[in-house]
Amino acid sequence: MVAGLLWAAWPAAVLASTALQTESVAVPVLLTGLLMLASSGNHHGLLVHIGAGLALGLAALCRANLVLVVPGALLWLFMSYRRHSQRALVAATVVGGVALLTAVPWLLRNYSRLGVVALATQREPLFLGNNAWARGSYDGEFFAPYAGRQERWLEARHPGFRMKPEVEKSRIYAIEAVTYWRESPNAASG
Amino acid sequence: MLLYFSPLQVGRPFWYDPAYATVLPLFLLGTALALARREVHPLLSLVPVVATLATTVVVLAMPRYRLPAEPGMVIVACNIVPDLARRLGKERVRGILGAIVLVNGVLAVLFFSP
Repeated sequence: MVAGLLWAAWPAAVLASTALQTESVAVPVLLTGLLMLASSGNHHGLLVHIGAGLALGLAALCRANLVLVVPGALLWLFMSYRRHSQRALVAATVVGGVALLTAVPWLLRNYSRLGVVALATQREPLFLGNNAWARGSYDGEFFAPYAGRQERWLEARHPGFRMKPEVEKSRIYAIEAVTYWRESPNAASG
Repeated sequence: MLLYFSPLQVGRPFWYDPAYATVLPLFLLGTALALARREVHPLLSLVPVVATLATTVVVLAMPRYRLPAEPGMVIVACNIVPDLARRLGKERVRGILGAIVLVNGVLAVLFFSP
C-alpha cells in the first residue's frame, strides 16, 4: 500500500506527465504483466500466463524497447520454477508465444505498409547516442529546425536526407550509428 | 549508466527527484539482499531495470526511459524497510530513513524547479 501511495505521488510521473507519452500507457500494462507473472506461482493456471504474455506484448507495442522485458521475464520464470523444469518450459512457451502473437498484427501491418518487419521505425535516439557529437544523453540541438550540426552532417552524407521517407531515415540513422560503433568503439561505449 | 541512476530529471533547468533519490539506495540494498539470499520473487522487479538500462547503454540516457522500471524499484524498496527494521531496530531504521528523506528534501528544494 505504501508503494502504491508513493507511486501515486511519484514526481517524475506527476510533474513530467506531459513529457511522458507512451510511458503513461506502457507502465500500467507492464506492471499488470509482471503482477500476473508474480502471482503465477500461486495460480498455475494457463489463463494467468496468457494474460501475462498479452500484457507484456502490449507493453512492447507501447514502448518498443520494453520487448527486452520478455526474455528477462522468461528467464525469471525458469528461475521461479527451478525444480519443475517442464512446467517452466510450458509457462515460458505460453508467455513468450502470446507476447509474440500480440505483436504479430502490428509487425504484419508495418511489413505491409512500410516494407519492414519492425515494432517501431524511430531510430533517431540510436543515432543521437552513437555519433561524434554524442554525450550520453539527449541533445536538444539535434531537433533545432534544420540547423543542428548532426543533421547537417547527415544531409552532407545522404543528400536529400531531410525529405526522405520515415523508413529510409530510420535505416540511415541505424547504419550511421552502427558505423560509429565500429569505427569508434571506445568512444561509443564510453 | 551513471545518468541512468542519477536523480536528476529532464526539464528546463534539470531538477532533482527526491523520491527516486530516496528509493534508489533501498532498491539496490533490496536487490543485493535478494541475490544474496537467492530469493527469486524480488528479481522480477529487476527485469524492467535491466531492459531499460540496456536501452540506455545502447541508445542514450533519459530519465523517461527509466520510468517503466521505477514502480518495481518502489516495490522492492518498500519491501526492504520492514526487513531492515527487524535487523536494525525500528528506531534506527526510522532515523536512517528520516536522514535520507531530509537530505533529499533539502537537495530537492535547492535544485527543484519544474
